[in-house]
Amino acid sequence: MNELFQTFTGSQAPKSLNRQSNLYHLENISVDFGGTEALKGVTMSVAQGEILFITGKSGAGKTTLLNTLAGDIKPYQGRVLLPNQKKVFVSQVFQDLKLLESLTCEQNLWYSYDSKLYKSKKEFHEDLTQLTQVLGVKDHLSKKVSELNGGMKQKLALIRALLSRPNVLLADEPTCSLDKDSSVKLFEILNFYNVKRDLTVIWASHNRELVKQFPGKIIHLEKGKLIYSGHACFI
Amino acid sequence: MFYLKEFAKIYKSNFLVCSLLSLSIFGAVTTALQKDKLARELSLEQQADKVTYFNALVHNEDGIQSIARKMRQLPGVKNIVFPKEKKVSAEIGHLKENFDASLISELAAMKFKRIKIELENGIEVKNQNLIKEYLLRLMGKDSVTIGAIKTPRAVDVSKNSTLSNITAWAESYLLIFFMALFTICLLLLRKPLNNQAFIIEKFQRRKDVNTKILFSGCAILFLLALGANQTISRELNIFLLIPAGYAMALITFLTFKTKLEFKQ
Repeated sequence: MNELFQTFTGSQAPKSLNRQSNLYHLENISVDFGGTEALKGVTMSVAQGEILFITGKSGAGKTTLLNTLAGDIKPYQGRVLLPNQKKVFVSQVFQDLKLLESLTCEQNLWYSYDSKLYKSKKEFHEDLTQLTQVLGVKDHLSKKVSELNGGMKQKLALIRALLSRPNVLLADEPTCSLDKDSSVKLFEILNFYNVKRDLTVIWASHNRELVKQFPGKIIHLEKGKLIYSGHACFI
Repeated sequence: MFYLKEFAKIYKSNFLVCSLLSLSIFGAVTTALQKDKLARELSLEQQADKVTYFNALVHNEDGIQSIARKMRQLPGVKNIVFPKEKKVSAEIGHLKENFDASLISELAAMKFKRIKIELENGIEVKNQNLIKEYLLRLMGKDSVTIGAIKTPRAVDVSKNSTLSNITAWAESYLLIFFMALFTICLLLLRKPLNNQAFIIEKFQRRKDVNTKILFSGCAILFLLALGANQTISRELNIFLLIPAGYAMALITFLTFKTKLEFKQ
């Protein structure tokens, strides 16, 4: 990890934004899917550089809320303030991962290589090597995605998102196929990016017990309604 | 360059569909550019006889060129043509299958030469017979067999109305066929291309990736097709490409205008 820290400190960091400003602001939003209300009057805001966990059971509206924050769903009621896409780059870890199964792991990761962000391909390759080493994917880089197990695929999807050097990371159940140790390691990496690169993390999870261990803000949803909003330690 | 590289990846992983896409672009460009040439080649009138003529089969080739020269000087004779040897041999070969083999073999062993005597249109029957007699006298009765006079066949529109319509619009139908093939290829490419574009848009700072990949790839194929046509025939009117190019761009836009989604 130390090696990782040093390299990342030295590499090109995204433009720092004002920590106090709200990146997202949702006001009394309601989302409807064919007569079923997935979100009911949710009001919340996310500040730049914040780590926010969205918890709740299956069908509570976590993914709908994430998709609303990603701008993929428009609520039929309420006001939504999203970050300017030209200034803030949002990357995602999807629930269904959306990996190109017929390609190798490395080929999938190279889709995050943006020549405007990295000085050279070498720099990208160094980042790629370090992240895959830390998360234990390095030995599987030449394998096709279809040959990997669920946990490996999940780690791969997260590495792909981080390699795109986002300002905001929307992660939908990024640890659902991982054991506790791997989940903690994954959070440490995200926390590192949060501290060193001002990465805003919005993490949806059904496992409230797990996320309670991590520092950050939690909002808890039940049947589309926001039940709790506050620090994880007070839930 | 980035979008071209991505198009190359798509081409590699969907080789058959992309080959058909290339074929459709090459076909459409060639059809649009060579429209007049194709119309001439495919028209029904092209296949009809245009002059009055009769055939003569000679088996003594000696002095045939000087006889042809003399015949050309006759009033009412338009031209003397020597059809290709291959065709005569093929006809004799065809006869062999239907008649007494030994007799036909003897005939085939003889050196026949076909002459086509083209006459001025509207020449009187009396004059036609005079020309025939002149040829008989020049060649000798035993050395030549003269066929009947054939007058220009008017294309019977009532009998061939459907065929005539098809041939008259052949180049348009060809263009429609290539456009349909182009559309089918785009529909088949939609899923892999959209998946690739979705990933690029989500993890790189780029927008409208699918259309950019497709437009850059198709533009290269379009230019290659144009270059190939330019090499074949020098004088091309590239403005003829405008409608075809516009139609292809419109089809591409309509096929990919839906929201970008990732489908497994």
